[in-house]
Formats: sequence, structure tokens, C-alpha cells
Amino acid sequence: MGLRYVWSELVHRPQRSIVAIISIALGVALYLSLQAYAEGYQNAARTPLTEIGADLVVQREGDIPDAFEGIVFPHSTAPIGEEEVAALREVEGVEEVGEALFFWSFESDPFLVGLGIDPEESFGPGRLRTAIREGRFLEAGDTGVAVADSSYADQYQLQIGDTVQISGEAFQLVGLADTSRVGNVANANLYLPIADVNRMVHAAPQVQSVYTLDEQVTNLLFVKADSAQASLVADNLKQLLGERSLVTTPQSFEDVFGTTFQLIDRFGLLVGFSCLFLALLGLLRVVVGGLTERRRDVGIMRAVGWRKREIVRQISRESLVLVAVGWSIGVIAAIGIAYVLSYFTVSIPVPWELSPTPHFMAGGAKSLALTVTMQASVQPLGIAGTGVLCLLAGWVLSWWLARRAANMKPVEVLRSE
Amino acid sequence: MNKVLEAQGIVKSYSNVQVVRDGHLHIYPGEFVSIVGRSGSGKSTLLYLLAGLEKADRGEIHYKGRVITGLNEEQLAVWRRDNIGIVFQNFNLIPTLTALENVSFPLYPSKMPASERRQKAMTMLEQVGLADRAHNRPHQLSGGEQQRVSIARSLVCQPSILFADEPTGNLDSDTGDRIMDLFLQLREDHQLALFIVTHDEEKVAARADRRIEMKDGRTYSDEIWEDAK
Ligand SMILES: Nc1ncnc2c1ncn2[C@@H]1O[C@H](COP(=O)(O)OP(=O)(O)OP(=O)(O)O)[C@@H](O)[C@H]1O
Ligand SMILES: [Mg+2]
Repeated sequence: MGLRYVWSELVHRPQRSIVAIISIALGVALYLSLQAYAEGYQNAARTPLTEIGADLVVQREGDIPDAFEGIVFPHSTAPIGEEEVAALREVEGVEEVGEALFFWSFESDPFLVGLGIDPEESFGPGRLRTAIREGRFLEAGDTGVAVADSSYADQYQLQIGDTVQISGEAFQLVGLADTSRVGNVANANLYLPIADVNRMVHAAPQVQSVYTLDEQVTNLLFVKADSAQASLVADNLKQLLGERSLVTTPQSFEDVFGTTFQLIDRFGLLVGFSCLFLALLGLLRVVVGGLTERRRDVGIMRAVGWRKREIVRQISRESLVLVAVGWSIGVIAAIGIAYVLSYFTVSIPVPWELSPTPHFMAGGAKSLALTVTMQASVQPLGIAGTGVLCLLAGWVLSWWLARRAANMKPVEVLRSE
Repeated sequence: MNKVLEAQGIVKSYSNVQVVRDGHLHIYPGEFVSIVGRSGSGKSTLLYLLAGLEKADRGEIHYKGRVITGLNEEQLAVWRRDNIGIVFQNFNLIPTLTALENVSFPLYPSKMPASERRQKAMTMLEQVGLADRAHNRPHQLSGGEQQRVSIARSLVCQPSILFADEPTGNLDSDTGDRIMDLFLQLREDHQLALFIVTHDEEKVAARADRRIEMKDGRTYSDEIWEDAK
């Protein structure tokens, strides 16, 4: 029927059409790209932990030893007791727990950060398997061997086959790993079998002076948890391990992004909806303006025998076309913005506690940063949602306005005086 | 002969002022009736009442024996589309549509295929001599041409009465003459009754079969045409 007329109206009153289209497009684009932006940051915040394959990292603050000699625990990795670990495995939502043993060694030359790991574990530092650059990764039953971080090895010209002395024990290098590829969480210079580290730790006076140790010592836990419950699990773990526990979740990284992100994350939906709302107000303005301008046209429609519902249908169609075009442009713009955002990188500061190096070492007090690309994308659900919302609101709005306009008395506008 | 339209005792007031009081008139098929009278005498109001654009406070209007005064707005709209055409002094074309589209405008809500609609509109445009301006929009046409388009529009649904409110009022006298020629020609071709409100006694009213004069809302008929029958 009047599609030709719809087209003529929109094309021959370009200013009005453009204003409506732009306001809808802006609203939709803003809404969708805000969501994409927030999602990009959320994804970024998840990377430090996803890169090591865990959902939570659990530590506990402890005490500073009298002297930094031999093997020492950084104060952010105090031992967690065997019973506590057992209890922790029972917490609802916890799926798997991986244990590691983090230490500083001042006796070796040079100073090194070590991490005792269970090579069989597929997550946590076990992930380093994928980052081996040369040689091999640790294997079950290994003893007296180690894998070095490749940049540390480069710095001290260490090669596969060389030995490193720690507390009088010799460790032969069997592999070099590019740890920077696996995030900056629990980074160490040297990765050793956890049993070897456990033995050395029990013999370390500066550990014994501050802590009483269980037979099997651990001070860094990697937890896989039901991701839907991650924050609840984190709360439960904190409760279990007491006030000094440090539980790192994706949320903890979001917290360091600063206020802009937090505002968008928390109020993004609100802001987005406000944008859409404003867009619909823009449409309202245009439709109202158009109908005032077109009172005479509506009078003519009535005079030549259009029924009210036919007039309403005509006017609603015009608005729906504007909404549909505006929405499409908005979606395309949002996809473009998300594409541009994906070229941006986000620098995620990794708290010192997660990869502690002594403050008195060069660069030791600095927290590391992990640089990741924004994984921002426009969600199909958002596209569909804004589409339905805009079309529905546009239709209701224009139907209501057109209904009012069609109720006019044609004679009022048709009298020539 | 059966009357195509008949009004009896119609009354219309605007804010307690009776603008049409006791209007009586009738039109036969193919008859040309002109309405004259001083400004403000109620001519336009009478026309709007007869065309179903206004509702009479009292009185009855019959169209081909059917009472239309009781119809609701939607029924009146359909009645207008199917039975009458209206032409205004200021043409009242849709500014965004071409001449051809304006002519087919009354057909837009119908389910008629677009090609048939175009065909009908084109035939009407040919009859008013504007086939070559079919794709021009109103602002590209002269006043006389715009009035021709609006006449073509009023006839596209093949009405039996055409109402016109001072159709030559906005045109110069030559153009007005030619519009009147067109009206009379169309009356011949389509067996059309013409009901034309005018100020122009000489060029419009003089060519009518019958003249009805309005004074203070009352109708005074000189029954020339009827007498001649
Ligand atoms: N909506 C209205 N409200 C109040 N008064 C009205 C309204 N419409 C018309 N009138 C009055 O009704 C009277 C008749 O108006 P009408 O337009 O029918 O006169 P007319 O004979 O067509 O005059 P003209 O020759 O100037 O066109 C006028 O006095 C006019 O002011
Ligand atoms: Mg008048």
C-alpha cells in the first residue's frame, strides 16, 4: 500500500528523517559499545588468571624474617596448613586445588625467585608446559632438575645442562620457559619439583624462625571453581583462612582498572538505557514535530477517505522505517567501535603480592603489568535486544501519537481562510 | 428522476452561533449546482456538512436514498472515498508526492495492485491534460496545474458528486475559465453532479444549471433546472 508514500515522506523531509535516524543510531551505538567496552575490560580482567588456568589464587600474609638469608618466604606467601588445604577442598564451588611453594633464595648466586610445582598439574604453573622454549618441562618423579625462565637464563647466561646451587643442593637445568607468555601471576626465575623445595624449606632457618611447618608445605594455591560462584567461593575461602588471607579473583583485577571502568561496569546498563531512552525522546520529538507539520496532510487523508487506522498505519510505518534504519546504523557503528577497541591494549597491573620480589632488589617494589588486547565485541543478544526495544517503543510511540493526530477534525485544517 | 443527494433541515452551530440554519437542498445526477452568498454566510460549512466532513447538529442528509447523517466517522470516510470527490480553493495536495502519486492518493489504503493504481491515476491525469507533468511535485506546478491535479484526485474513485469550494478562487481569470471548462467537460464524460461554492457570479455561477444562494445560513434556491425538466 502506502510504502511509496512512506518513502517519499522520509526522503523529501530529509532533515527530520536524519535527526531521527541519528538519534536512534547514536543511542544504539552508545549502548552497544558501552556494553562491548565493559565486556572488553571484564575479559581483560579475567586474562591474568585464565592464562594460568585458575579462577582464584589463594595466599596468606605472614611475617618478615629476622634476616634475608638462605631460603625465605616473602611475607605475602605464608604457609597454609595441610588441614586448611583439606578444608578448602571441601568448600562448595571449589572444583580443584593446585599447590605450589614460592620462595626467595638469597644464598644462591645470583638471588633467585623459585617456585616448587607439581608437574602433573594441568593448571596453575603446570600451564608453563606450553611455554617451554627449549628443552623439556618438569616430569613426575623428577628430582634435582629445574626449568628456568628464559629471560633470567639469558641475563645470567644459563644454558640447558648448567647447574644452579640452592642451599647447597644442585639443580640441573632441563628446560627454558618463556614465562611472560603465561601471565605475570606467580612468576619465578626457576621452577623446581615441589618435593625438592619442600625438603629445602624444612631445612631453612629463616623459614623455621617465623613459621612452624607441616610435613607438606604449601604457600600458594591455585583454585578452579565454578565461575558463576567465584565471588561467593572467594568469600568462603577468606573466611576459612582468616583475615590475613589474600584471595585473588578476576574481580580483584577489575578493581585496579580505576573508576572509569567501574562506573561503566556498574552503571553501564543504566547509562546505556539512558542513551536509548534519549534516542527514543529524539524520535518522539521528530514524530511530534512531523505531525504538527503534517496536520494538513492528515486532514487531506481524512478528506479523501482514509480511515483513521489507515492513517495510523501510514505514520507508524514511517517511524518504524526511521527506527529500523537508525538501529541498523547504530549496530554497524557499534561493531566498528568494538573493532577499533580490539586494537587497544589494556595494561593490567598485577599486584606485588602475586609475584613478589624483594623491595631492596632493583625494580623489586614495582608491581608487574600484563598487557592484553581488549576483547570487545558486540553481543548478538544486545543487538537483538536493542532492536526489539527500539522497534517496540517506536511503534507504541508513533501509534499513540498518530492515533491522536488522526482524531483531528479535518475541516479545521482544510478551511482555506 | 432520483435525487443523488438531498438535505433536509440541517443545522450547524459553532459555539452557539448558528452558521447553517434550516439548510434544504437537493442535487440530481449530472446536475451542476452553484452556491453563492456573502462571505461568512455559511457556504463552506454547508459543503463540509454535505461531504460528511462535519456533523450536522440536526437534520438529515440522504445520499442515493441512504441516510448518511447517522454514519460514524470511519463509515463516512469510506463513503467519501467511494462516492464523492472534494476540490479545495488551495488545492491541498501532498507536497512530498508527485502529481501522479497525489492523484492515486485516495487509493493508497486499498489493496489494489500498484500498477492498476498507477494506471487509473494516469488516465485521470490525461483527462485533466497533465499527463506530461505526472512526475512533478506540487511546488513545480502552477496554480492551475495544481488544481487540475486535485480535480484528477477527486475523480480517481469515480464519484457521482464532486464538491468544490471556490475552486477558481486562487487562480487568475483565464486559468479559472479553463478549470470551469474542465469541470463541465468532466461532468459530460462521467455523469458527474457538481456542487460548487463560488464568489464568482459571472464566470462560475452563470454556467450552473441552478443557483442556490445562502443568506445568514439559510438556503434560497432558484429552481431553473428543475423547472426546465
Ligand atoms: N470552527 C468554527 N468555529 C467558530 N465559528 C466558525 C467556525 N468555522 C466557521 N465559523 C463561522 O461560521 C461562519 C460561516 O463560515 P463559512 O466558512 O461557512 O462561510 P463562507 O460562506 O464559506 O465564507 P467565505 O465566503 O468567506 O468562504 C463564519 O462566520 C465563520 O466565522
Ligand atoms: Mg468559504
